[in-house]
Amino acid sequence: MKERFMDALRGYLSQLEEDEREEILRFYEERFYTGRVYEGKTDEEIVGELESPEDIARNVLKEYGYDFKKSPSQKASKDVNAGKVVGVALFDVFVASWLLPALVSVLVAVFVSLFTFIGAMVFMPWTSATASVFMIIGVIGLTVLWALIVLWLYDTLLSFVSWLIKWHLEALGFGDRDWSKTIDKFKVTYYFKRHPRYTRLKNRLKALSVLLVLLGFGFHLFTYGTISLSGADSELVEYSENERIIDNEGWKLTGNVDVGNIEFHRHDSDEIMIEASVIDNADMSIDIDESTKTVNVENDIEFPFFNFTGLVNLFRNESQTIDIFMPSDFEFDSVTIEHMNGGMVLRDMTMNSLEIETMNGTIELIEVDIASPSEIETTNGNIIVRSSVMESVDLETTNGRIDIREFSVNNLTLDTTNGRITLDSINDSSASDTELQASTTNGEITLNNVYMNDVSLSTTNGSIAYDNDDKTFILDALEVSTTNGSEDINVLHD
Amino acid sequence: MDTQLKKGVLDMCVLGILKKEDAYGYIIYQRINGLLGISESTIYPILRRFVKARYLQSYLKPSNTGPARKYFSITPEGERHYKALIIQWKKFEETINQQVVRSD
Repeated sequence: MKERFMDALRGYLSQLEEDEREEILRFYEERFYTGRVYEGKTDEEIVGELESPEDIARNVLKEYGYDFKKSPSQKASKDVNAGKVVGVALFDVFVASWLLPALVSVLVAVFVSLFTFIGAMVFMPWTSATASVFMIIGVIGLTVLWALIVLWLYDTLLSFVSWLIKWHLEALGFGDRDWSKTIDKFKVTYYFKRHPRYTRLKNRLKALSVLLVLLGFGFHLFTYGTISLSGADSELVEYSENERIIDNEGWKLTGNVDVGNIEFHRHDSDEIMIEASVIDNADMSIDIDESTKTVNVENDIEFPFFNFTGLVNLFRNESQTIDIFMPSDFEFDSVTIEHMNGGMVLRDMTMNSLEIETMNGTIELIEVDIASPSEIETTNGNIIVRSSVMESVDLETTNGRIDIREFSVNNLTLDTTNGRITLDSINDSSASDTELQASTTNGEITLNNVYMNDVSLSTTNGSIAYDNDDKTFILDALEVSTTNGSEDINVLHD
Repeated sequence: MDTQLKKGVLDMCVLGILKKEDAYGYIIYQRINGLLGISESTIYPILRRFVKARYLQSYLKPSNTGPARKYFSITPEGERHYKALIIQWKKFEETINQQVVRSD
C-alpha cells in the first residue's frame, strides 16, 4: 500500500530534478513512519488521510513552477512507439541534418548583412558624389527594420529548436520535462516581455522605421520622379599630378582613400600621372616624390552629420575615379592601398608585394604578377583575378564572390561568407607542392582544371564540383565538406 | 477561508512557527493545518524553497524510537524576511480595514 503510494508519487513527480523529488518523497516517508510509530496507524489509514499522489504532485509541481501532466513519465517511457522513433530518426537524418545548419547560416548571413548595412550607413552616404537626403532617410529606416527582422529570425530559430527537443524527448519516452521554458528564456521576446518599457520603445522604433522607409523613398520618388539611385547632381573636382621618372627601380605606392574607384593604366610617356575626379569635400591629395621614390594618394571625407548638403547618394560611386597612369616600362615595387568605398582595378603590373583592402567595392586583378605573399580583402564586393601569377595569396571577402581564371599560384587561400567561389585553369598538371584552401558559408564552389596538390574545400550551403581535363593528375590530398549540397568530385587523390 | 488568501499568508505562517521552535515537516504541517486548514502537499515544497533561499536550515535529529528526522530552524536571514512580511501584513491589514471593511 505504502509502496504503491510512493511509486505513484515518484512517477508523477518525474519532471522534478532528482534531488527535489527525493526531498518531497522523504517527507512522505517520514510521514508514514510518524503515523505508524507515534500514532499507531496502519499504512492504509495513513494513505486514507493523505491526498492522492496525483493531487500532491499537482500542488508540488505548481509550487515549483512546472506544468502538471496527467501521464506520469514512467508510463510514457513504457509507451515508446516504434513508429514515432523511426519518424524522429528519419527526420533527423533527412531534414534536421541540413535544415538546422541552414537556418543557423541564414541567421548568420542576415546578421552579417546587418553590419554591412550599418557599414554602408556610416560610410557610404557621406562619400558618394550625389545626394538624396530622402534616400538616406529611407535607408536608415530600412536598417532598423532589418535589425528587427534579425531578432525575429533568432526567436523563430529558438522556437524551432525547442519544438525539436520536445518532440524528440516525447518520442523517445524521456520524461516530459518542459524544455521550452528554459529555451524561451534566451528569446528576445522573453526579454521584452519582462521589460515593458523597452517593448514600447521597440514598437515605436518599428513604427518609426516603417514611416522613415515610406517617407524617405516616397519623397525621393516625388522629388526625382524615380528611384534610379542617381539623385541630384553633385560637384566633382578634378585633380591631376604628374612627375617624370628617371629611375624606374624601387618605387612604392601607398593609398589611403575613402572614395573613388582606383584603376591602373599604361601610357606612352615617361611620367607617372595621376588623375582624380572626386567630390569637393574629399580633401584629395596626390604626392609623387622622385627623391624618396614614393607615390602617395589620399583622400578623406569628414562625416557631415549635420550638414545635409554634404550627404550624398548611397549608390552612385562610379562617377568618382582615381586613375594612375604608368610608363610602359615602369613597375612599382610594392602597392599598399586601404580603401573605404570604391573598387580597384590593377592591370598589367609586376610587383614584389601587394596589399589591398576595401570595404565596399570589387577588386579586379588582371595580368598581375606578384613575387611575395599578398593579402587582398574586401567586405562588400567581388574579387576577380585573371591571367595572373602569384607566389602566395590570401583573398577574402564577406559578401561577394571570388572568381579566378588562368592563374599560376603556389599557395592560395580563399575565404568568403556569402558568395560562390569559381576557379578555372589554375596552374598546369606539372604542379607540385601547391596548396589551396577555399571556404565559404553560403555559396557553391566550382573548380575546373585546378592543378593543385593539397586541396581543401568547404561550404555550408552550396554544392562543390571539381573536375580536371588531365585525369592523370593525382592530388596528394583532398578534403571536401559541404553540409547542404551535393559533391561532384571527378579528380583522383592519394 | 479562501485558498488564495491562505496562500498569501502561508510563507509568513511557516516562518512564524519555526521562529518559536525548530520542527520537522509533519509537525509544521499539523500546526499550519490547525491555523489555516491547508493541504499537506503545499507545505513541503515551501520548506525546500526556504532552505534554498537560506531562510531556513535543516539538520537531522536522532530519535530514540526510529530513524533520524529532518528538523528545520530559522536563520537570521529568515527572521529578517519574516519581519519584512509582518510589516507588510500589518500595513495591508490596516489599509484593508480602513478602506474596505470600515467604510462598508
